Amino acid sequence: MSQQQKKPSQDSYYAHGDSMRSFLRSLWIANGRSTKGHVHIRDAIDVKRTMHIVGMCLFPAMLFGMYNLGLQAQVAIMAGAAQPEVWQLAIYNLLFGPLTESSGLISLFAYGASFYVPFYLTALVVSLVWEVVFAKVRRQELHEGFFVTALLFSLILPISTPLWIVALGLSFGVIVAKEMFGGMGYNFLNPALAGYAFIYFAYPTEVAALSQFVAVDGYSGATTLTLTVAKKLSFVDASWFSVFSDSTWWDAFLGFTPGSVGETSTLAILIGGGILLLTRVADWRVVAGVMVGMILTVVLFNYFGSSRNPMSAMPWTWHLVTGGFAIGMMFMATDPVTASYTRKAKFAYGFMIGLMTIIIRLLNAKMPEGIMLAILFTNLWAPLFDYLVAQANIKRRLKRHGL
Amino acid sequence: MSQVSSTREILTSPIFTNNPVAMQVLGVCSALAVSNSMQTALVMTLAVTFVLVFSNVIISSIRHFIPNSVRIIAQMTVIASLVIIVDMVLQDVAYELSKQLSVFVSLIITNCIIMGRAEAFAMKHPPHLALVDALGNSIGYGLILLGVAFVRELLGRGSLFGHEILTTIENGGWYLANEMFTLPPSAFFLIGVMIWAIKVVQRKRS
Amino acid sequence: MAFKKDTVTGTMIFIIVLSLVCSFMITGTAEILKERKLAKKRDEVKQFVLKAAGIDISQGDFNALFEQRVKPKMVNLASGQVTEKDNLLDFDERMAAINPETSTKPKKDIAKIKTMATDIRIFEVYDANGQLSSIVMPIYGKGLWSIIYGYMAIRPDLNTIENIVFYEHGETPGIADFVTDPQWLALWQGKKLFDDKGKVAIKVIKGGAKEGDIHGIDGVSGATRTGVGIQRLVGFWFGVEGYQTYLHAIAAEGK
Repeated sequence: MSQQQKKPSQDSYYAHGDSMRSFLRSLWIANGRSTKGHVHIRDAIDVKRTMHIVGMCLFPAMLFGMYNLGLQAQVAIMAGAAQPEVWQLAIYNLLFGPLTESSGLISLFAYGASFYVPFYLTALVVSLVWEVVFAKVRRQELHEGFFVTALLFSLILPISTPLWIVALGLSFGVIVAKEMFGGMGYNFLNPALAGYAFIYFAYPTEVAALSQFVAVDGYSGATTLTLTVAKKLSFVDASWFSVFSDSTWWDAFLGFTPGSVGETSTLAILIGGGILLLTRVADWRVVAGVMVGMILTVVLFNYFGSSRNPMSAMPWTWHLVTGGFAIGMMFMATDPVTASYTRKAKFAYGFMIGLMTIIIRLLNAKMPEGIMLAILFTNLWAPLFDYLVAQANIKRRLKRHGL
Repeated sequence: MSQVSSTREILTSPIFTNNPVAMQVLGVCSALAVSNSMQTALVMTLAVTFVLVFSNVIISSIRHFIPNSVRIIAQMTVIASLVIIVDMVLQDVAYELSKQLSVFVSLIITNCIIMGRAEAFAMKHPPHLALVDALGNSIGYGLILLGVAFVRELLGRGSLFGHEILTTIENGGWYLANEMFTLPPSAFFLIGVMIWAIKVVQRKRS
Repeated sequence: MAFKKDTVTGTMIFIIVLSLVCSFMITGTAEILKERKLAKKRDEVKQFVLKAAGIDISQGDFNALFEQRVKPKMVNLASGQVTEKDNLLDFDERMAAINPETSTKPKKDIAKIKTMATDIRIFEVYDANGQLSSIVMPIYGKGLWSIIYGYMAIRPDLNTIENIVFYEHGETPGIADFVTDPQWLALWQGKKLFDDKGKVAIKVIKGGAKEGDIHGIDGVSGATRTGVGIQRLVGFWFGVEGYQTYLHAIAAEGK
């Protein structure tokens, strides 16, 4: 299926084959080929292009996440925690020496990278292996979805999740949620989220342990959500606009808080997400739906919530910047395969995610992080929303023609 | 299934090619609920075997006397009586275990496998064939149930029949128990994987 | 005469015969197992009472231990007096509670039990030196789906909870299993039943009791109604219609 063939088959214009070699080739020569003979219109936007855009858009959050990982470790070490003795840090120690108060930006970045890179590579290798295995068995081409899945998956997990759990969770996500149902484009659940849910239910103690957000020993970096549940933070007097004069909110917005690599900086995610929206890879209707659903639910709870639940007083501006809400809204909810397909249904789909997120966050004290499970849950509803929209359309058109 | 099919086929087909749980997707409720340990799965299999064998034999031997209009009720009466007996015996022999199985022993009454075999097979075949059919289906049910329970107990708790195989971290070993497998949804995945495997093998054969 | 199965008479005859045969099968089995079941039930009562009193029964003969340490008593709830009765171990609480001759309707039925026995069997548990160590009292009431049965052991000060066990319930499997979870039951130990005014103050608190709350038990999220049911049944049984009269009687006696 390479270009050397004298007379290329029809497929060779389109597919880049099922082998690793032609996949790698296709990374730089795929869309440049022109059709021969009569005029054919080909849109340059294909799976690969889409996936590359998504991947690129995740970069701001990822890069910042790595820096923040180092920064949080520095804060922890200044507070008296010890730098862990793990193999990930071997190269770092060689180049920069141990992490100290005076470590600069590059050093902090390298510290974070030395944890995150093996993390991501594990996820990448696992998802690539399964992609190749299934592509071989099914004699299909390789799809680039795997690297975005691995990227998203590595961004939403606490950094000190053991690598074997990462591999296991992603295997589950890719096989059960994606490949079992026919692979790329047929998955009704987001594979990264399915893997996340698997880890969440299989090893609750491993993932939920607070100390795992910071890559040092014996330091518990609690997130805003867990702090609020534990009644250490109070939002009783807070209103949604007062946060703009609150430095902790700005920290959370910019991302200088402990948390999973990809989810801390709302700003970085919004930049990436903005590009996604502009390029129309992600549909703004879903994002709008999530925002509206979230804000309405939070406002409802702010007014009618019980005083015993500390979460119910949290204003929506805080909900936006804490936990994985932003990354979930921009990158997970908008996944075109698992979201609703019709435009009206996209609003409903997004709205339901926002609603479920807040309900899980507020009413289930054991699971302060709600958006991931909310999206999985709403994935199941997406076809139903589509069905209702289609039915309504059919009815309307029947009426128009007097039938 | 016609009279032509051989006894051997009646016995073996429900074990693999026509497995009641995996291929006909019957009796899944109990398979999900009691398959989190080998012990409960084994007892459940035995209970189902007892009820299935006797109900099939009894119904098949009185099949010429069962009026058509009340045949389902008649089958239910026989099955329900058998289940009550099993329940009583189980409470006597293994009281603790019967508590763990709780409502699922009584729910054997509504287990589709038993009703299905009574209506589809026992009503049309002589008792000796009905007996073979009941045994085959029980083995098919038991295989799936025990298979699921094997994986769930081994991975979920690191033990088999309560004996420790993989020493868990809590007990000072190395194995981190996968709590997902103690939750009922895992049985869905496992049964799904089994159906997949059986289908793949079947396709290769034909 | 040929049996015509599809006539009305044929159907009737068949159904009657089948029902008779089946009922004989069931009653036969029940009859064979009856004696053993009674003995089992007696053993079970003994085990749960010992467990409620916090006595380790994992080794040794619990029968002997029970004989030695535990003294069953019948108590009339209305008067608070001890009544005489033979064969206390074979006393069937549930039958007594629904038998019109031995039961009454509670006036304020917060435990939702509809009828309750006028006389109830309780157990006095003595320690190895013959000193009264706790009183074990049966409690039951409605949770979310089912009646929850249990025993509560209180210390001789008649206020502190020694231990609590629930031995039968039909609550949601998986979610309300905490009812039999030793860790959750251990939360009850040492809590005080009554407040200063002598009212039942025990509470199952959703979202967790505050530290140092001597009346509060952590509720389990997802099983709020079960928790409320347990709180109510404890409140009922240690209220005026429950053991309070008896407790006052023995408190007065002790002084």
